[in-house]
Amino acid sequence: MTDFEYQQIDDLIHSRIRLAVMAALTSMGPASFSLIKKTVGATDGNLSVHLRKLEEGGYLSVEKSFVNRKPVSIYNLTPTGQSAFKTYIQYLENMLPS
Amino acid sequence: MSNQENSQAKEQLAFIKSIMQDSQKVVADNGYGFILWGILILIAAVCSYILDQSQLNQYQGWLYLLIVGLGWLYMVVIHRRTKKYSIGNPLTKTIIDSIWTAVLISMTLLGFLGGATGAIDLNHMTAVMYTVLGTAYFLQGVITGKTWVRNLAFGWWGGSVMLFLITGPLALALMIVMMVGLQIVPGIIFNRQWKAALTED
Repeated sequence: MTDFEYQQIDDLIHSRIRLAVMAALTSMGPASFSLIKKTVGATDGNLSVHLRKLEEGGYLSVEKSFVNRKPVSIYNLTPTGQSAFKTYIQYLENMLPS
Repeated sequence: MSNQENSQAKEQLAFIKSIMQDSQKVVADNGYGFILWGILILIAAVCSYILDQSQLNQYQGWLYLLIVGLGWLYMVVIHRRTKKYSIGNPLTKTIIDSIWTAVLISMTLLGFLGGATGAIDLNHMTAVMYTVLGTAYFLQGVITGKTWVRNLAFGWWGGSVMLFLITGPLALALMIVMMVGLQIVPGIIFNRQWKAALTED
């Protein structure tokens, strides 16, 4: 991959777990931490770190509340995140021979 | 573009596709609707039997109007409020919600109009209702990829066959067993799965 092409890749998404999170949320819509963890197959600590990175990058929003006195965190893709994921997919598709 | 880059892109796209496909069937309902309708129908069945035994059949219509009205009140008021906590693919959720709404409307029409006009024999009303109910379970099971939910439909349909053939206390007992085993218990399972999917350990 050339330097130019490498710079086009969105580093925030270009990690296995973060990519899986973005794909899962695109498909599922808003989802809880537990559900993302189950779908992505990551540990609590690892997933928290990746979710925070996506949140800090403005790709995710999180709504925290309580259900039956238990903490619930619902994550959702922001419009920026949706657009970034779409761009990332387009970039990958462009890499394939037509 | 090198072959290695092509295969990396392909592999990434395949990974994204698999995650999205797996996530598509994820739906977790809080199960409250299943439990509530199950309990309401149980109450209706028992009250209906008591009214029948007491020769007070003229109140049967009012009884079911009250029970079904309470069920619909739940659907319209409470179910809508708790919707934000339902989990899963928006399209899948819409399809399942639509199936249940359509089935509940059909059952309400069959129950009230079918019963009032005499088009459906009241002794076999439950059999007709359970046949329709089985359809909803079957579709929900297939759409969400949950075989056990799909298989509940066979329980509903099998029970319906029996309910077409028998009447009286035996039919009432079967109806109660089916309502508990195929509606309330699955509702409790849905609720547990929903809580597990929603809350953090």
